[in-house]
Amino acid sequence: MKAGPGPIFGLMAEFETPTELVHAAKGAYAAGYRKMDTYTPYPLEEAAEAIGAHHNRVSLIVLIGAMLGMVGGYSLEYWVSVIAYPINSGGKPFHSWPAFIPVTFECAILGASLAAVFGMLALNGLPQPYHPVFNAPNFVRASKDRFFLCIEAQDPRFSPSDTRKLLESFQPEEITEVPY
Amino acid sequence: MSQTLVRITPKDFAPPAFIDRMRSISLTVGVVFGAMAVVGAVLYWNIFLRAWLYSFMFWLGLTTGSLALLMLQYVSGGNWGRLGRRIWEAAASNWWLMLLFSLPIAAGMKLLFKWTDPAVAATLGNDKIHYYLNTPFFLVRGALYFAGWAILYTILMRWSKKEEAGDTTPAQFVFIQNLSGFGIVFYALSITFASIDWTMSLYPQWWSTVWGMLFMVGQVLSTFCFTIWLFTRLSGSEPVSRIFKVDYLHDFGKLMFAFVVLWAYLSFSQWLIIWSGNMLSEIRWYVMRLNNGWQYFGTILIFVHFVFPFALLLSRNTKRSKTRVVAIALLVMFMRLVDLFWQTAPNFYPGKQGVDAGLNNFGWPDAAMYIVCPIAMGGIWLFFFYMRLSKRSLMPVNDPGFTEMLEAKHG
Repeated sequence: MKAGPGPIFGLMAEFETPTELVHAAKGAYAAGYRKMDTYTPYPLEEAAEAIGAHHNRVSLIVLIGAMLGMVGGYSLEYWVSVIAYPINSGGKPFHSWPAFIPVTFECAILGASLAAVFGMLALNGLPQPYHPVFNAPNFVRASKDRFFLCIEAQDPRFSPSDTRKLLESFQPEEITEVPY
Repeated sequence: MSQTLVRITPKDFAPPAFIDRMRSISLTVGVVFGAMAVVGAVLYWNIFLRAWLYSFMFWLGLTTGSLALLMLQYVSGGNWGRLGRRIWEAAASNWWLMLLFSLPIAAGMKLLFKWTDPAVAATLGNDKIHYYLNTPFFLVRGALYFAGWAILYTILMRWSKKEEAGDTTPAQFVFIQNLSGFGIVFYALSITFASIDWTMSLYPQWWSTVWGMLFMVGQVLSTFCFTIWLFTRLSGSEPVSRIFKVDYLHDFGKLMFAFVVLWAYLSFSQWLIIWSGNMLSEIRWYVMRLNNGWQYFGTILIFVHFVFPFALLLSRNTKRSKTRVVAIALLVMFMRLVDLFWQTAPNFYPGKQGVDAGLNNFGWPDAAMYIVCPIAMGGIWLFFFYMRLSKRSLMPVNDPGFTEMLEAKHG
């Protein structure tokens, strides 16, 4: 890898404790940064909370998926029982909506779960065979005993000097430039 | 990091003073409405009994529903259980009050339950029905349910007091877990039979095998709603505010959501199966409830007991907002009362085409009794509940899992 200035993926700060990481993540979020991510050895709900990871569109996609499944399931049953194969069963009307509800419900669940899986994959960009954060020298310890916060260069507020200054104010162990 | 070791004692979670204020408000409401209920009982004994029965089923739901959750959380563990434990202990302690409240029903059962009349029992189409539905056995069963609840409550409470004093060992915790497992089975059986005795037998020509489950779900649901309301109320001030986290509210919100869905699932299954079968013996229960004005209550239940809370509670933000969760909890709790009304009241105002018209027979005295009785019973119930709640610490501080709850999640 060439030394010297080139495009960088972002600035990464390394912390020893989760408390420091959450503090830094909250600070960076308050400073207006949005394109950032935290990397921790175990799931850390508060870190996700701090960088606003819960404000995503997956729930909306799931809702749309559920609606489509619901409408699709009901329409299919309506078409089968009323239009295509009307069969008189027990003297009930062809359009016997109470009997349609279980399948409608199942189809809504199917639509919601498919939308959840594929919507999640579409939004988080997985599967991703290459990710620049692994270029940071100490990053292996993210699966072991260190906590990382990476502010990405794509963020409109990113500036190599100011962002570094902000990260320094959280007193991390180390700050590294992450190359592409 | 330097840390000071602080030993948390039950004193640190002493109940706040406003519980005493809520207790006196409850007593005032209970006495005022209780006096109105007594006047109603003297003037319209028959109508009073009907309203009293449905109020009894509602407040029994909070009492035994609390007993069920108390046992469930010992078996399952989890922070939600530690947060609600004192509330459920105080609510389950009201079993004796419910026993007292059941006396008017026992006294007036000839007016409430048609099968007590041998002439009616003979028309039920089954000559063996009196083996189960007869007055002495009915009363003995009622006594057995209450005895079981009282025994379970007493053992659980004795253990809880010992734990609070700091005299418990892990082996004893295993005992209380095993007892709770057995107790949940007893709860399921007792509520199944109690709901058949006290509500399904109002219309003895009809039966549903999911009836007991419907009542269990309803009881636990109303208990969750009550817990959410009270816990949020307590969390606004010391000492509960010290440990309150939005995640706890979120957990309770999820549990309430689950039980709203379960209620809808069971209610709908019952309806779908009976509707599909379309047998005279089964469908007439619904025909009675879907005509003569009762259908509006059914429609309200579908939308306000299920669709509306379901749609709102889907959202994560709703479950994490105190005001919204509490508003939904209170609404669902009110709907529990409407559901019990819809399940029991039409039996007394059935309506026959052309002869009389169901809800039209539901006059002002009826409406007044159906409003006054639950409030009167609730005021007295809450008075004793708050009295119990104010006697002990609000959190089980000696529970092995409790120290964890004091820590912030990120260490």
